[in-house]
Amino acid sequence: MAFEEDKARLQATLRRVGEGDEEAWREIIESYGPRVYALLFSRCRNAELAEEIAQSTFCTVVTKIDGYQELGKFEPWLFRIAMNRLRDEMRRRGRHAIPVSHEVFGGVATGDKPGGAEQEQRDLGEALWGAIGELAEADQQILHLRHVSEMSFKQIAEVLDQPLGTVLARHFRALKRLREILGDPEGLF
Amino acid sequence: MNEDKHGTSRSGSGGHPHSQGIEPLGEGYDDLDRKLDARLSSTSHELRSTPVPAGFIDRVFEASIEARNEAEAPLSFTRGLPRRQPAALKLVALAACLGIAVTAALWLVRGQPTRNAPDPVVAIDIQAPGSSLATDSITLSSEAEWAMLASSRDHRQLERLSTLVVTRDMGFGDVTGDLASVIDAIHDPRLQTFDLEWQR
Repeated sequence: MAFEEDKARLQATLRRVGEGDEEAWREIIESYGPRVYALLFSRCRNAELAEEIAQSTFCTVVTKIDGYQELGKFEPWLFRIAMNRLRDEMRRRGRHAIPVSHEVFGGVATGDKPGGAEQEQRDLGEALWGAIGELAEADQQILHLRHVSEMSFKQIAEVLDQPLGTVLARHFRALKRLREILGDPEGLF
Repeated sequence: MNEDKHGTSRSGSGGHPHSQGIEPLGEGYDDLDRKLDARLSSTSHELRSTPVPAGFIDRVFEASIEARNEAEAPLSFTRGLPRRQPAALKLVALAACLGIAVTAALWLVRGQPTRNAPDPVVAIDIQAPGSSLATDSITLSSEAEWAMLASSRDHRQLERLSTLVVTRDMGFGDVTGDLASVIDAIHDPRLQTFDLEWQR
């Protein structure tokens, strides 16, 4: 991630974007686009919809970036727009987020037959992320933002517009509920 | 769980504003929670590394640049003053209509009392039929005529006429009207109109 190391660089790049520098905007897309897409795809399991919402998200950001001042909130802002757009689209289509299926951890990613350890890892991933699909929507969002988007709890709270304590409590309960769904989680480890 | 691999240097609830691995769990979680969390992190690698479709970056870039240009387009409308004229004309027309409506309302409000005003008072003769006040038809007794003559301011001058009153050859109105004027004229030297016949 180009901007992970240098917050000041991100601020300077965003300022250039505000001044109309298209190359600076392209840097932003290259840095954050894949992460936004991955999060959206992990939630909706639809490549076209994920790209459509990602595109809509960046369109919204670029039209509102003129007055933006980077205070460490750009990433939560970006992901918040993406999550809200996805939620609205899912509601419009009358659908819920689709649990991560076998194809994510299966042969779609690689055409080769996986080895023993690798196959075990994929089976474990399928079981875990399949169970997450049975959690409440808000709990699923927290786990996806934490593990797929690698966001801190503080950032997750900003994305979901919830108090930090609420997010921590929901995450705590989500793990307990996930253990209940899995039945014997120790057998997975 | 290999916590060093997942960014143990990050603070409990804050951390770097950008992705530096998954934030370690704080206190309150048991070992099984931590193992489960670690498994979620290790298996989410394939989710995180979901490849974007070919040309994704270019399409997002082009679409967002177009969106930005469209968002800036309304600025050009500020040059379009003619577009504002119809709106101004509409406002003027609306103001004119309001003015007419107010004027009409005022006219109606002010005209109402005039319309509803009672017709000019018609004199009503409340006198009983036959009691006309026409002095010609008044017939007073000679005593009454005399009493009225005596109360007159010129009764001394009119005393000479009392016989006429008594004999009812003249009424009080005649005495105090035309004749009194004649007598006044006789006694007024400025008028020089004394009647010689009266002097006799």
